[in-house]
Amino acid sequence: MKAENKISKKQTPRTGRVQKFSVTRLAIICLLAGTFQFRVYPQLRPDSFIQKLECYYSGMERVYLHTDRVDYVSGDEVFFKGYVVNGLSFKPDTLCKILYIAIKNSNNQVVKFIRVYLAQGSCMGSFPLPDTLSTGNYYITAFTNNMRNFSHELYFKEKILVANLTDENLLSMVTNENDSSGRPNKEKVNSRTDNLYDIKVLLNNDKDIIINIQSVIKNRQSVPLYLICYSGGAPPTGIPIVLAHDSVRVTLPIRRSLLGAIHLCLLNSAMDIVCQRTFLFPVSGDDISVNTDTRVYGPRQKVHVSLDLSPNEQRSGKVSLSASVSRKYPGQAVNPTRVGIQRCLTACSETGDYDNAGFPDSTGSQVIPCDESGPLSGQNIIQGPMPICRSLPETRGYFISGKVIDKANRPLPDVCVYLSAPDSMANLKYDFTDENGRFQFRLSRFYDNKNLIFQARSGDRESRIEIEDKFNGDEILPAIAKQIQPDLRSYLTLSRLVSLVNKIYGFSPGNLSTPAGTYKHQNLPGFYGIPDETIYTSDYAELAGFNEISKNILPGIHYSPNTNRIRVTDLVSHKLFKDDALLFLNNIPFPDPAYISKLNSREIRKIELKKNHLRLGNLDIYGIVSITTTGKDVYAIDPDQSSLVYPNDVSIRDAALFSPEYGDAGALPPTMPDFRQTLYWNPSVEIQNGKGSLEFYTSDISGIFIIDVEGITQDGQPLSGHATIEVTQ
Amino acid sequence: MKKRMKNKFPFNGYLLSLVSCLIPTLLYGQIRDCRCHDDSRTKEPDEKITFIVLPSGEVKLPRDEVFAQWRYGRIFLNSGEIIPGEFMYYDGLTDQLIVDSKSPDYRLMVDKFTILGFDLESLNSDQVYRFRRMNVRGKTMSEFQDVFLQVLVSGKNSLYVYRKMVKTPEPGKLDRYYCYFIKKEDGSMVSFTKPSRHTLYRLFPEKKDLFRNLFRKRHVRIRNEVQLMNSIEMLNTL
Repeated sequence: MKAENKISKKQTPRTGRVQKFSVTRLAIICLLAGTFQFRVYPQLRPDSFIQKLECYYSGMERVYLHTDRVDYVSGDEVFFKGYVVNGLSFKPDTLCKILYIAIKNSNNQVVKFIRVYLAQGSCMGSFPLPDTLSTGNYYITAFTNNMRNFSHELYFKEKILVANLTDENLLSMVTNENDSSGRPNKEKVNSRTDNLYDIKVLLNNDKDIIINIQSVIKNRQSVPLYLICYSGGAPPTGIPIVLAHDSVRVTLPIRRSLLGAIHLCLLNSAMDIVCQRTFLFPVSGDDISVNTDTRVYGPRQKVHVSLDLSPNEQRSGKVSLSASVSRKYPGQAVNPTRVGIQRCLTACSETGDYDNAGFPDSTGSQVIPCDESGPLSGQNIIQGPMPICRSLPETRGYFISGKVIDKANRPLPDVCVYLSAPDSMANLKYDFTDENGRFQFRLSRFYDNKNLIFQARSGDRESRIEIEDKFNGDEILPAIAKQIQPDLRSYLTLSRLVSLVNKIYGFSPGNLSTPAGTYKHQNLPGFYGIPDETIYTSDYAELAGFNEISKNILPGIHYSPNTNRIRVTDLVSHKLFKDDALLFLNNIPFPDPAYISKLNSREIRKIELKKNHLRLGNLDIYGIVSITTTGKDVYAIDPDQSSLVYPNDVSIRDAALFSPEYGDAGALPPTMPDFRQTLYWNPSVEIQNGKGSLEFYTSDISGIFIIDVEGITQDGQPLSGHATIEVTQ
Repeated sequence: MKKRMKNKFPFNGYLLSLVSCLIPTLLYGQIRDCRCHDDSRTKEPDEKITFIVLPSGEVKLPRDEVFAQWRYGRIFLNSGEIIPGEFMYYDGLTDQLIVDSKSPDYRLMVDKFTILGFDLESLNSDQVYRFRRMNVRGKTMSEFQDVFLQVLVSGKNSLYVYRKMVKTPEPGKLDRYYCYFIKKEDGSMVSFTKPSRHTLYRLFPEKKDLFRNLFRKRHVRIRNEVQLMNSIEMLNTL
């Protein structure tokens, strides 16, 4: 026993030493392991960072909207062509297949919101401006769902001027006598500046660019940084730099062949983006040569315009062009007042943050810095599966999402939300709300221009369904000054009168519109296939109430007035289902049998029965009873269920611009006025072998008209061309 | 005092190691505040298939030499959506598509009228068997029916086969009933049960001489399905 004690006493300190050693070693290993992941980052991450960044920017999309004019009268038809390109390649191969166009007033309220489908990166159509628009400046904006993940400043934005048709004195606009420029005041939308670093870029004889990075905080020690630089089409390059003496200058050979934009990212040693800038090279000039046979025309005279693409663009294959000829308003420059496809698709909007301060010792051309691409963390990009996830790209349909909330605005989780649309067949989609009470559906074109009916089966009668606004969380655009110059006032007054005359004579494009027709779905998305039985009540004697109907002509259907339940007998087991059947009234789910029980056979046209246990996704359905009433387009919604009717409007208008041809005998007689302010609009100008032509007639209105041709090549080169003609009496 | 310190050391070591493990984790966790973690949904809503739930009963796979086993495939919905990665088999006896219910209590049969067709993967090759729902009236069919036809050849003239299994008077024994359909260039559909050269002459009377010369010249024989497929493919090249 003693011996054992001795041994144990001897061993104890030894064991303690081992323990001490191992614990210390463990602590050191853990410390090393902990710090290792930080140490290893800067060495491992740049390549993957570039890949992720490439992915990030390729997910970003750019939009340009070419409209026929920039000044309208309320009720006018706005003709547009939308160009959407990939953010990195600038090619029109975008993820999203839907473009949103909105018009915002000076108070940032959306006054018009439409949705159009994109095909090969472009869309065209028209929409009428609301008659109720008051006179003033408006923003026309356009974006895709994917762009909502990035800075809202990347949205397409352009100011348009609208005069109210009945506003005789243009009262809502204040005359600004002092400003003689006639141009709308340019507000700075993006006034963000980086606090730590300032980047300036200079073009050096079109061969390379000089990037000057300067620390805002002076007398800092040497700071190791990593500069990632990429321009459209070229693969990104990464350069390690050291910021000594508060500034560093980097010279990079850059191919300017594709586009005039360069994106710069400055990372610190922890791989966080400390500064991010997009710069735009100055646009050298028009890529399309626009020539007219003469510059001055008389009224109702034919104008022939020839378009000639420069040799570079001729090589780039298929070209998508749109052209407009509209009256120039006072103070409007031929090109710069428009956003311009080149400037817009590469990075900037008209209202971007212009910084004209260049290099103090610069001799090269100035490069304009553009808006930043929103908050971005290098760590997030590296570690996250994808940085883009707030708004999914709408590749296969329109996403509609919303929330189910209770009376106290608290989100209701696990609520089954039904979605259906009035149609000739029962259709049903459902989703369960998540912990935030959110639901989401992807809609095919079957649901276009139909009223969507959302019904929440929450059991809470006070619950409410709210549909997410696509503009929710958007950056507020700066209010536009309600100022107007005297010459612009007289111009708008004339525009208003012209629009009135056109409406009187029926020349307004809206009246001459030819709707493109609704999309015809090849295969109707009926969710329960063919019914097991279809019963037409007119084949039988008149029956009062659904109870009588179910007893006499609906085999296998059990209606209990006492319990207010409708159940179906299973076709397989021949037993009555324990659960209630799913009821449809005019092809919309209607969970209340009490209302249906009041219908007599005269009010019911047909009843379709499905007598199986069905499963739609994870939703069990114990038979279906679908009742179609005799009333046309009648759909009733159960008042006991929280529901919402949401119009799913899609722009399918393809109005034709009124453009008479005076060369033929059947032209407008001289007694009829022709006060067209938009002489020509063609969203798809044909170009063959780099050449194209436009032909149109002038109207009775004299003045300067701007020929504006914009487009993009298949490999992502934006094109534009401008010219003016004068019409005299 | 020293002894007390010695006794405390292991505890301090554990604490130190714990803290050293926690610090980077905490720091790391802060960095991972990804934008994906907002309240939005990051997953695209999926399309749902309508199934008819059947009692499990005794599951007998059809005795068809090609499709008698569970295999992966994809389903084409009427809405145009594609549902990939389903584990399923084609029941030739009932002409239905059965999908794995992942439960022994019931079977899931796809509602035939809600889908356009389906693809089944081969078990030992990259081949894909394509089935499409078509409203046809073949030999011995009393009326037009929606059936799943296997696509054998697609082109100017497409060849389909309806692989129907029928019960025989002998219990537990099934017979094959294969009905072939050819969709001609003009869109008309013709059917036959026995592949032969004479059948093709009958179905294409306007090209009978051409076929006869071609078949003689190339020594084409049509006695089985493979030879029929080859001959239709050959015709499509003309």
